[in-house]
Amino acid sequence: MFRLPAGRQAYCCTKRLKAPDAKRRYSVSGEGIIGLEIRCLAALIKSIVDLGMEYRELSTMKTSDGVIHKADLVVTDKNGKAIAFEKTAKGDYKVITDCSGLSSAQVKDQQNIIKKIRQRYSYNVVIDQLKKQGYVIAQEEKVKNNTIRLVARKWS
Amino acid sequence: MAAKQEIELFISDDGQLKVHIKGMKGPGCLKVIESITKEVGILQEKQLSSEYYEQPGTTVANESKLKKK
Repeated sequence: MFRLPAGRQAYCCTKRLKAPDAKRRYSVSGEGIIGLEIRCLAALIKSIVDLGMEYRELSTMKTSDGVIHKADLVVTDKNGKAIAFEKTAKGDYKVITDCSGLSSAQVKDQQNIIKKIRQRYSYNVVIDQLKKQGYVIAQEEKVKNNTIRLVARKWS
Repeated sequence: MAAKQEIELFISDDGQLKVHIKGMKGPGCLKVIESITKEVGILQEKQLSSEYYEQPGTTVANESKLKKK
């Protein structure tokens, strides 16, 4: 079951009536946690470009197990190792990397690049979707753990 | 009167999204979460507060009555 963070109980209906500072707080009518799936190649390319990285499309990548992957998109990390995005039968893009011969620091570098791409992709898709729905981005900031906080508003 | 709808989003360092919908009564809030999910990925968890089950405008009407008293 989804648990509210500490201190958020005051937002629920019954306690909101009792809370002395309830008027100063906003109420949350719904919350959701969404796991990312990369589905849009154009948004993926935009995210890679936003991060100042170079890419090549429709390439192949051979991993150390001998498998040749048909990659839709390949970026290269600073150690010269490829990070490939391959379309699955389901329609989303999975990440393929080959960690053989890499030190733990190099593996971490690679993971950090993948994280940055995923976060930027999520950001771009969300901003695009919110704007399509008529929302304006009122606040944007980096909070702890490199998390991006956005506040979008509209009047209806 | 126009009502303010606000969405607070947290995008974690690996792209996972946390969405908080504020000030939206009725099923509209679920629709917003679903429309974002459709583009971004898979809805893993959701929680709807009592506001979800309220009809839009209900509280405004009640508040007006209270003010008159």
